[in-house]
Amino acid sequence: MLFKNILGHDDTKRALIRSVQNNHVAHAQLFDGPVGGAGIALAWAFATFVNCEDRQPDDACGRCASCSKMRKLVHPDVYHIFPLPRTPKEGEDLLGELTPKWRAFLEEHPYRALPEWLAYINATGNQQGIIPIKESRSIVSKLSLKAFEGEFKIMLFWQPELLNVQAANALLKILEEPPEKTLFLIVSSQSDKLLTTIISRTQRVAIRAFTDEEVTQFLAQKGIDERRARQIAYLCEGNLAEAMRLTNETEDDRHAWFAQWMRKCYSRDFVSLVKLADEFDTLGKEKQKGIFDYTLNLFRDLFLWQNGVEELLRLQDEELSFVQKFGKAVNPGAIELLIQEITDGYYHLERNARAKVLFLDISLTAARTMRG
Amino acid sequence: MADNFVVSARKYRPVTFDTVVGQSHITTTLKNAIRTNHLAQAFLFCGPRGVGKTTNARILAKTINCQSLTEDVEPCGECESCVAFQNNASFNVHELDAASNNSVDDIRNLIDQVRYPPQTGKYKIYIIDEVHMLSSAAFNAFLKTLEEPPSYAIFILATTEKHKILPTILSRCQIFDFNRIQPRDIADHIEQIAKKEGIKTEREALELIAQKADGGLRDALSMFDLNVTFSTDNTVRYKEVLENLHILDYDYYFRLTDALLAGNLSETLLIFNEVLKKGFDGHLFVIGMLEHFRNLLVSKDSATVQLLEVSETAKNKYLDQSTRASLSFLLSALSVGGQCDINYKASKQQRLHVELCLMKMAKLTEVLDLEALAADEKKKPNVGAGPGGVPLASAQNDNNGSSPNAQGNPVNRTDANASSLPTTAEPTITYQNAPNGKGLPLGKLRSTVNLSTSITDTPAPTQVSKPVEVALDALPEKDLPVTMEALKEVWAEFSRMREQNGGAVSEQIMLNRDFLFENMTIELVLDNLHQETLLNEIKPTLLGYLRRKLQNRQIQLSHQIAQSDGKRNPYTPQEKFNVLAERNPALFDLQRLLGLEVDF
Ligand SMILES: [Zn+2]
Ligand SMILES: [Zn+2]
Repeated sequence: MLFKNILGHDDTKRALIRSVQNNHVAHAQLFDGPVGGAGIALAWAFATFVNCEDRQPDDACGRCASCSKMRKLVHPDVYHIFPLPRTPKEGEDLLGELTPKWRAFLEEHPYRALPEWLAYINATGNQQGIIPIKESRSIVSKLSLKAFEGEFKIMLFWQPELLNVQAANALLKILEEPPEKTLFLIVSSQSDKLLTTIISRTQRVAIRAFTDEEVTQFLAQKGIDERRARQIAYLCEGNLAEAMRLTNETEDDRHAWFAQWMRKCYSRDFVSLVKLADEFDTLGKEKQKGIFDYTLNLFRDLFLWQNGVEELLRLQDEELSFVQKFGKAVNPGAIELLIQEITDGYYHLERNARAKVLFLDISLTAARTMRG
Repeated sequence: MADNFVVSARKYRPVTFDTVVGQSHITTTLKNAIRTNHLAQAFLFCGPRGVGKTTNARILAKTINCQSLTEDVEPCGECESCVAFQNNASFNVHELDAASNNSVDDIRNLIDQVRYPPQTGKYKIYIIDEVHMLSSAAFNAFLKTLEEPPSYAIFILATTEKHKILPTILSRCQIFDFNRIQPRDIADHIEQIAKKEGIKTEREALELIAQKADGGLRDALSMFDLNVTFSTDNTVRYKEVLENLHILDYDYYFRLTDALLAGNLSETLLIFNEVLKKGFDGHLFVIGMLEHFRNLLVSKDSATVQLLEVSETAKNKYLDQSTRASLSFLLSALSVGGQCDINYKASKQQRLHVELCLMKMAKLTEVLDLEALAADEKKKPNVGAGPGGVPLASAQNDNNGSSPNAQGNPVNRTDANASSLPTTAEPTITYQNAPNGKGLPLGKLRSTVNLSTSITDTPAPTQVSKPVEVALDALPEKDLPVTMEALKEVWAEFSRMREQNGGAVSEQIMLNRDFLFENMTIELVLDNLHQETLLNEIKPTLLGYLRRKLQNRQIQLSHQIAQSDGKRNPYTPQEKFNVLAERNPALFDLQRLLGLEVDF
């Protein structure tokens, strides 16, 4: 992974490169950004740059022995810590066994979310992912070794928020006073869950979410057509893990569903609404939630449009014209009320309320209130 | 990268008592004890992270082993022992990190070492960091040694969590409580380090770092390092510190509050968007906003303004804005924002959640101004006073006095103004519940603030965000005469708007009734306490609407509740329907959905 393979984030890249050039690399850095963001990729590119044998002004060379090992994440001076499905048994090196899978997982693409990883290693439903104390201890022993080839021993540590308090505490000392020529690159997507003692011992590298344009560009590189790419960008909110997941789904018909639903509410076509509720009931729960998600997104756009901040709309094409037409017709008070109803409905849906009743209830409220 | 960069917290870890920052009460005591040879054998160092506990433990160890102490009771730095310490090679100091070595075995190893006296020097020092992390078995194993230590052994226990230490341990230690370090001391300290490193700094930048470090020097230094790393010209500037530390500039909140006060919703939404685009978390934004309102509140009173822990420039900005934000605005905004904070995590569309909250806040000024007008009009010269509780309450007593009671109406005469006033304690709750002063069952819990969006404005999209002046402009300089006919028309208009905006069924029933109008006061007879609650909820909005539409600021509204024995039985079909629908609101929906007429 080279810096140039990562879309955007020029400021962050420059700052990281400069820290090497100025000989001011902090030994423990927290790459802190949203799920499905550039955290892992940037840490990986940074590690590559640090150990590159022929550093260029703005990136690693990508050709030297170190770089080619880094490309496959098999560099002997790079250690990986990532969530395990369970606590290893006595004498079992679960981390070592899973490391090849971890490399393969990241080589596919490095914009990842925890559930994906757990699915990738076939974790069972109730395995949440943990980083046991034994793993934290093993870091200490590995790092006391001298670097084999590169200048630095590098610990790539994903999801430190899964450390329990005991394991996290075991890391404090080494984070504060690490062996020489050692770098901790810690990648977190929920830094609010980290122990403050860990945060205070690391230098934070703030990473923003990908923009809609970057998501679209990323998907285009993966061969997704532009229209679909934009649709996905709208839904995934800068999360490339989610974007990749959505590419595997069949063409999304949420907008069609939503538009049809709203038209029937608006025209108070109760017979059709009852039929629609039956249809809604037969959809899978994920699909149902997906429709509610979409509805909330669209209602937000309606809300923005009605309040004169059209520039914040992220929609295009038929969805945009839908919002513009619908926004003129629908009473603003109703939008606010319906947002609340959908939010409540979502809550009940997750708790196994009867989808049909829920849907009909929202439909009736919509029909009653929409016309201004 | 020839030399490994060493973080400042390590590079500049103090090595003498004199260089310890902000803990002089401790260093003085320790030096005195050494000078007078009254050193305890067990110490407990308590205090937050990064304030110097381990550092002081190491300095103490070094000092008491120094072979030629300076007159000032500082280690010489040159003798064999000092050199060994400086090279981390002293056999006389043992550090145990209890966080990662908390088993009985770990502590036994340590106890074993205690048995052997030092080969050189006078003392062996055992530093046990994060001592509260020791398992209870380890604790017990250790207790014996702590009770009867050999004369050459000194134990220094350090902890961030004193309350977790067993009383038996506490009673055997001399306890030192370390302070959070004052922001000024931190800033001064960093300034010195910066000078040594040849780094230029802005004082404001250092103060910002000190403030964010919350009393921890290590945190502060780590932040300083980060800023040096990211600097292109070895200069640490305020603007860049904001960026690098991911701190939201308080200017955003000043701008936001100005926009909210002006009722400019679209501006507030744009500001929020800008903040998110910079990568800030929506929840942190809400929390920061509440903090900002709190600071404005505190600035309203010269007695509390001292509580602001900000620079002089910032303080003046708060003072300035606080004169523009009324007390009731701040309290209501805090309440609306508080709700937003509480429900943030559970929200499915968190961004929208915040945006709706901003909408409610942007409406506040308008709603509060109308209320203030309602209560204020009899006291016209009352310009300076905000719509706070006290002056309004008295205005409203005036109303009571002058309200005609000609018919000698018997019952439950209430002046609803009293209850619709925001009190200072819990504004939004007051909003919703104040009418319930008498312990009535609550109406549907709903904020008047957000309802007013759709009511006081015509539903055209862009008009929602019009500045509040427009609403005030609409109120005339001189009051125009009001006819009963016009009043009824405007009243009906209001009622229709409520209905279209999804107003409650029982609210419609409450609104759709005849009333008297005398001496500019509308006399409404309600059926029950529930209706009273509903009326009180919408009264400010209703009165505001009537006054604007009829161009008369004098219009008052009072109501009474019909005595049950005097209550008419439902007579017309509409009345019968109303009675039924009130018992079962679904009827009303049914009627509306199916477009039924009430005529049977
Ligand atoms: Zn290379
Ligand atoms: Zn000495």
